[in-house]
Amino acid sequence: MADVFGGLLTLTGLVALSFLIGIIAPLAGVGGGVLFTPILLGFTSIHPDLIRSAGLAIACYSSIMAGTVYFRWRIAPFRLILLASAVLVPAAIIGAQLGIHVAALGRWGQGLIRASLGIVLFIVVVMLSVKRIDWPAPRCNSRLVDVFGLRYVYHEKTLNRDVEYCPTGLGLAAGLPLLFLIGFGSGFFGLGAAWALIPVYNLLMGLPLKVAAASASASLAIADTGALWGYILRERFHPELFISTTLGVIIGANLGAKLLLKARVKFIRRLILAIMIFNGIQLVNRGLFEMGIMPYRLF
Amino acid sequence: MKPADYTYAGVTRALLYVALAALTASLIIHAVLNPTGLEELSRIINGELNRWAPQTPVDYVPLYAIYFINLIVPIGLIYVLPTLFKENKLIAILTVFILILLTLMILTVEE
Repeated sequence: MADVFGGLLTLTGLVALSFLIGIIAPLAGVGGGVLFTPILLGFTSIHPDLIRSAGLAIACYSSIMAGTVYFRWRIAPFRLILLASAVLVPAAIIGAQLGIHVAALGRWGQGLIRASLGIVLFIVVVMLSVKRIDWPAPRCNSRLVDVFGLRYVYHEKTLNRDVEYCPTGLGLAAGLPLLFLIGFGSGFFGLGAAWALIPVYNLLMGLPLKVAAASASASLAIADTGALWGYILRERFHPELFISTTLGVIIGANLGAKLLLKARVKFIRRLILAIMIFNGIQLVNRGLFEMGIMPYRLF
Repeated sequence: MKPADYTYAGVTRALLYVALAALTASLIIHAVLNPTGLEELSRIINGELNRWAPQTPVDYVPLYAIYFINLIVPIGLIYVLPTLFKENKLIAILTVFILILLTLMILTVEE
């Protein structure tokens, strides 16, 4: 009975933590999965496989939810996302499978995952600081754009006019290999990847910032579904942990998106970026310690 | 005829709401009828557990709810495939490729 009560308390704590992560993540301009996985990997003893499967679920279901809105408004180009998914899906599946094998190596493998995730967190912080272009001039003269039908138009309320957009042919060709890396990382670390997709869609492919952000949010649903099946069918999840944290983050993120309009975003954003840097240092330190490279753990 | 993106958004939205309700219900049912799952949470926090497989009939309730939510994307893609074929054949072929990958993933992974 005591174990059940303890479990119930743990469950409540997990829901509360996930809910909080869900609220603050949109304020920092990232998805819930980007905060969830590193925080739990860094500060708890939960097995990395269980954390990554839950993190992937958060990224995947949030992405499905984003798609239901953005595809309808035509802010996210469905055909471009399907094209990107043809690269993202195999990459995420390979990443997930490799991640499971690395974690199965024991303490050393888990240390490697933590240390490399810590480095990825630093990259996330840098990418979030990269300047983006709001309205790049559409250059739709590529043959690739016509072949795949990638011209889109949507009505931009703030400008009160229709906006035409399409990816540049060169950006498309150069972006696809990068998408493979991003999909791999998402599957391997159980992490959302909108932070990496936005610069690819905006700076490389030349999509307007709003379209790039919407596309990035809606892109990972298909890829992460494939990766998630790998974790689930290999029994690397726990239903109570998986469901409670997923629901917590999704509900929290909906509230966070509403708070975004009222809160002092700049201050909160800086605070969360500072937490992410600390989390990154802690993950690298803990990972190297577990790998036997660093003799002591700082945190 | 509605465009594929509009139809996909509608189908996945309806399925997602059902799936989220099913997940919530399954969590409650599982916690009430089989408290072992709650007991295991304490072990998970201590890092003593790294996998889970259904042991009792009640364990299949959350498992099938999780299966269902993970089938939303493939169902949505299959549903819009005929429309996609009319809109752009190359993209439709890529979608078939994605569906084959997902199917292979589901059918071939063994523990």
